Amino acid sequence: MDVFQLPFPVIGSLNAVHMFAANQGASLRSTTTDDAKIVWKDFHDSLSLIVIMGNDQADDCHMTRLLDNVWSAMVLLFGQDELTNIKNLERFKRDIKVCFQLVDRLLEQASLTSFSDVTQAVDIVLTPDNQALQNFLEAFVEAADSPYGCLMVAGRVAVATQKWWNLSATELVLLELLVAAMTPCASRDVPIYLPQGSPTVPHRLLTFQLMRGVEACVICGPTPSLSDLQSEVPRFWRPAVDLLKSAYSVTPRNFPPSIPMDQNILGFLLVNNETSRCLNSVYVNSGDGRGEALNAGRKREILRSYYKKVIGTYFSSPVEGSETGPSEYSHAPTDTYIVCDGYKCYAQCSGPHQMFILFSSAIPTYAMRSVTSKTLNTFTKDRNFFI
Amino acid sequence: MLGHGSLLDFGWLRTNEAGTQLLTCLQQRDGGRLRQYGLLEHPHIPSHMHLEEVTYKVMVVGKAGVGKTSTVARLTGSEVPLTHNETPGLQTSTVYWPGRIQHLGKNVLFNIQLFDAGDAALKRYDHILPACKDRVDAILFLFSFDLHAHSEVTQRDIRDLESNWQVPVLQIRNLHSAHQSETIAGAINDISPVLNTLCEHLWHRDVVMSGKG
Repeated sequence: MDVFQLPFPVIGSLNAVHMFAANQGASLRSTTTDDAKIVWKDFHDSLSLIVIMGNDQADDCHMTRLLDNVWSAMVLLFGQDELTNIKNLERFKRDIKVCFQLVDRLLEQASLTSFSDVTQAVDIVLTPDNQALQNFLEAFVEAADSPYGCLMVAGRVAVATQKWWNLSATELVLLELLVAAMTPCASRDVPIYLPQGSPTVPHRLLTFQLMRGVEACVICGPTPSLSDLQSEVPRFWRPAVDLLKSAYSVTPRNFPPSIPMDQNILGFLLVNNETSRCLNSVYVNSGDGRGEALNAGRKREILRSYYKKVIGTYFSSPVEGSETGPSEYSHAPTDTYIVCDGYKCYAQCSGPHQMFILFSSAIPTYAMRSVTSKTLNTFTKDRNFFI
Repeated sequence: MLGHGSLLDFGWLRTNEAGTQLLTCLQQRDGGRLRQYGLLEHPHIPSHMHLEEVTYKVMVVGKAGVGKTSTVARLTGSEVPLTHNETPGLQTSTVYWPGRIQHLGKNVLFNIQLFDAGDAALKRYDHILPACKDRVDAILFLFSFDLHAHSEVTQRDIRDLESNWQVPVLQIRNLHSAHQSETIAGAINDISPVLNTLCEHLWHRDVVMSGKG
């Protein structure tokens, strides 16, 4: 992405105003200009991150979360010790480039097809045979002598081991984004630090491209070597080829065609804040989505901005600071909607689940609530799926 | 130095019916680049062609930012990255390339596994370099230069380097498809001299090794 470099005086003033406040015993967290918003955050008394974004009218918690993720992304690929104890600044500026690919991914936002960076919950895909795939994965990670394994389909988690699910939400999200951000290749051996689980001792992330769009990932220690584990791939995964193909065929809908959807639904985003998983689809009904008034990118953009508007204003999420806005109400809102020129949006909270649906304007406004509840139940009450 | 085309029949891929058919099998449908295969996938070669497959490991070496990852992407048929990114750790990629061994009259499918490690990761983590060097068959040393009128490197320099060190210097241009002005067929023509020479040297090494053994 070509981004012009900020002039040095601008960077200087951005930093100076923050530092000036700190010296006066105040903490400058954010400010808005006519068309933009600026947020500052310090990490471990070592680094300050400053983000500038067009004003999206959403709560500041989303920008603070972005900065937290950028920091965690740097820990993931560079290690916390190296970030909190910078000895040679010039060298640091050169070495930190190893994180840019992932950080760019976090900043690109609108061009992502996934939602994890904003929901802080990992994107998943529901395949028809999750249990069978789970068994193949468990066998493979055992060969890797590691409890951490996951199978990614089109950049989303299809199945993962229990230990993998026990990683923190940030770790789950960043690993998903990292695998998708790196240059495509047959296999990788990437040193990583787990921002919460192991910020100072590196592990190894091994990934194997099984077929187009399907990658098996494990996190392990010094052994086995990349080539040793790679030589085991055919033995463990060849019997699963048909299953993997059918898993990939579920994308980009991201859930099996056997699950019917209301014709008025253009796209949706379903988040479980307890398990840190989210499911989204903008190819709900018409297959490739051609001929619809809104293209896939536009639908994602609407869902993203609607999610950001609702979380921190009406609903809260595990993201720090998102509860401030909703706590100003005397009650806890469970439903909210908007009606626009070309579309309508409805959001509903139910236990750990939050459902955001983008409807065509054809749906009567009074029907949105019941269709949303019904759709939410379709996914949460089905025993074959765990979201 | 090994004479160009002394072991492999380079014309065969372009002129022979079987050769062009093989190349078509390995290309993406638009014919522009080589097809990519996952670890569970393999090129569909017509069964009557009886190809022996030989696997080699090649390590890519060069300064940070010289274009190791881009070169690998170019050779394997994936998209060349638009911006430079430090490779975090080690990545391997596979390229299949057919060749005809002249003196045996035999066709071979070269399976070349390219090992590409980020410069910083190589220096910082002990296990990356051994993983690259273990049972490696060849090394590609990468350097970057312009061959314009006033460039620092001249054709003569390249010829001198080749004869002094007895290694062939191969040239490749790594352009993102958005910047690529050449025709689709040009994309394969651009990488085939590189892959041909690489395969020929790998085969030569095997011939020499088996002679010694």
